[in-house]
Amino acid sequence: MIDFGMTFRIAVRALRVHKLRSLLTMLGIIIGVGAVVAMVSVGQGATAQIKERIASLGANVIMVFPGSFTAGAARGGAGTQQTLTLEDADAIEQNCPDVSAVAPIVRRGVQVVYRDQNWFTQVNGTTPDYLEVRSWDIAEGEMFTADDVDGGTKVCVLGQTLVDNLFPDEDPIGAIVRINNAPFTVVGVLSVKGSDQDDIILIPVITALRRMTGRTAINQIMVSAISQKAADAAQTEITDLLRIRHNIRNGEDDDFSVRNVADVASAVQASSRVLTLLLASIASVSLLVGGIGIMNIMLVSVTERTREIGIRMAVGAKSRDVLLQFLVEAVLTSIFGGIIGILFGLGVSQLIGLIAKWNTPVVPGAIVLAFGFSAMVGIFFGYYPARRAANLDPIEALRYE
Amino acid sequence: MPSDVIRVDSVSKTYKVGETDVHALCDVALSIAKGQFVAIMGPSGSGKSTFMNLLGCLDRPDKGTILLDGTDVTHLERDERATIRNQKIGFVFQNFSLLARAPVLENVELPLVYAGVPTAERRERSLDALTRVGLGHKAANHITQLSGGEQQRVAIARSLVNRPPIMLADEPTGNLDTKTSFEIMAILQRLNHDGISVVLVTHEPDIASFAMRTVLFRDGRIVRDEANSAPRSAEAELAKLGSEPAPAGIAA
Repeated sequence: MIDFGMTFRIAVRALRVHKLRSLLTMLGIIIGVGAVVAMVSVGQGATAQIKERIASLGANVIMVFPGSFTAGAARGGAGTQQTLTLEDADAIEQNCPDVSAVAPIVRRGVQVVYRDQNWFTQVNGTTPDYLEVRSWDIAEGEMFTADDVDGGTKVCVLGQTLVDNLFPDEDPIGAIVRINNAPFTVVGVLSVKGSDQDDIILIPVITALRRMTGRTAINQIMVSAISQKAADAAQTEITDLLRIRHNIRNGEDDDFSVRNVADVASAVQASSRVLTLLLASIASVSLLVGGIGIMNIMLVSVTERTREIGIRMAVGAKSRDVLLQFLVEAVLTSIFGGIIGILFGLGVSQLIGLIAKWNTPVVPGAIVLAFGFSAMVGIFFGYYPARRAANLDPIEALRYE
Repeated sequence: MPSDVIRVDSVSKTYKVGETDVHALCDVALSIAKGQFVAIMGPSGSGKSTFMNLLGCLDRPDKGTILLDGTDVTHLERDERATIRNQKIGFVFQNFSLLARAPVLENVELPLVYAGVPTAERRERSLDALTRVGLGHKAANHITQLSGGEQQRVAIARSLVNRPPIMLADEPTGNLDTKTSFEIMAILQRLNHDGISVVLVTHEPDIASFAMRTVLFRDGRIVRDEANSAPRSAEAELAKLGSEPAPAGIAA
């Protein structure tokens, strides 16, 4: 039996003789393996990112939006109708047993001015419960109180982005900022949440209704269920309560919508899983095509080297020696391709991570899998050409020109 | 007879070419004693190539028996024949049949690789074989850097590296000029003198005259088989050619 080191050396030499050809043969495997590694990495990064975002929304959050506005056949999006009121929010808090906190929200884009600095941001008129619903903390100072809400006082709590932009080297607590030209006293600063959710100002909801919108309708109610398990029950309680309050008869559509963050999260995750699977299957098609490319070139190589095979057989090479030699060559091609593909895939995933600004973790499992798969492709598609070489008639092979 | 290194008994071989049968060999018998140097001659189509393929265990006869160095090889399977080729036969071909991409030493090592000889011993024996054909100093060269005569000497080194009892040389001088041919014949004669049995196929009577015995094939049969009472010495012929002595490194 021929020793393995020798077989390996022969194969490497054969690949090096036709460098460009070998590289092109590997290309299919490079792309296939690269795609698998990159997709798994990006997919994992995306899922982690989604999880993080959803978690940052708050624990067991249920969101209530006004219904969509309908005029003839034209329908607006969620929230285009003005059906939710502060009273709805109070009613939910008082009547739904599976609800632990309720935060009505009124949103407006506003220009905030402090001395010679200004910043465009989103003001959220809400209640102190907002912090509990969104699992958010005060970093400095304190949250405005229920009294501030009832009295409609002009106080505000700043997100970290506003502090960075308006108060680069000053303590913001106690400062007066102008929101749409009205003076507001800064009472607190929110902790950092990231993904620029920090570009926000909180003010009492009554103040927002009086100063900003002049209406009684609110944009959204955020509700926190007492536990994750209770989220579905809370959702039902809210729906039933609001249907009664809004006088909606049986058979009629809701004029609001209730969304459970957990549902949204699992839907998003399921769809990202499907997407990853889809991309992985495309990648495996590429691996398959790469394998066929290897088979094709190995067949050419066997034909070209018929004489060499004849010589080897004449001096005593057995069928399995020849078989092994060509098989090793095919597997080396696919493994080299696999290694380059892994590096390529890692590079691509890091690049995507850099552009998309999220983490694309290196997934060892995917690398091992891709490597093993490429070796298997080599064995599978290299076997037939190798078999053909091993079965050559030595007399014919020696005579071949 | 144990002293016969090759013993062929009533061997026939028929090929089918389309619908017609071609009787390449008909009832051929031949014994070659250990240490003989036999030239096989005959026009193309006479069956001498088929005969050499059978002696070289590259093919099997339809009828008859073939004994090589006491082993009956008539009915051996593919891989068993590969082992016989490896252990008992050294091949030298007209077109050298070397691996052009591999260095000289690796070409010589090839039979030892398939014999499973460990690397260090392989290297030593290959260098030794190269030295015997006067090419010890070219072990690291590539085949393409060698002249035709040198390439054939590498092929001879390869054929004797596994110390086979039989050397089959198929027109080894067919691609070489007269002087180089004589150099090759000188090496073969010397190896033969050292004990290896040589079967040489040639169509040149000039080359055949270096052998001890000439066997003539025609139409698949042996039509003449005669001893050469006074085989020529290739060394002497080289000396007669005169202008240059035998290549350096060929030890007498």
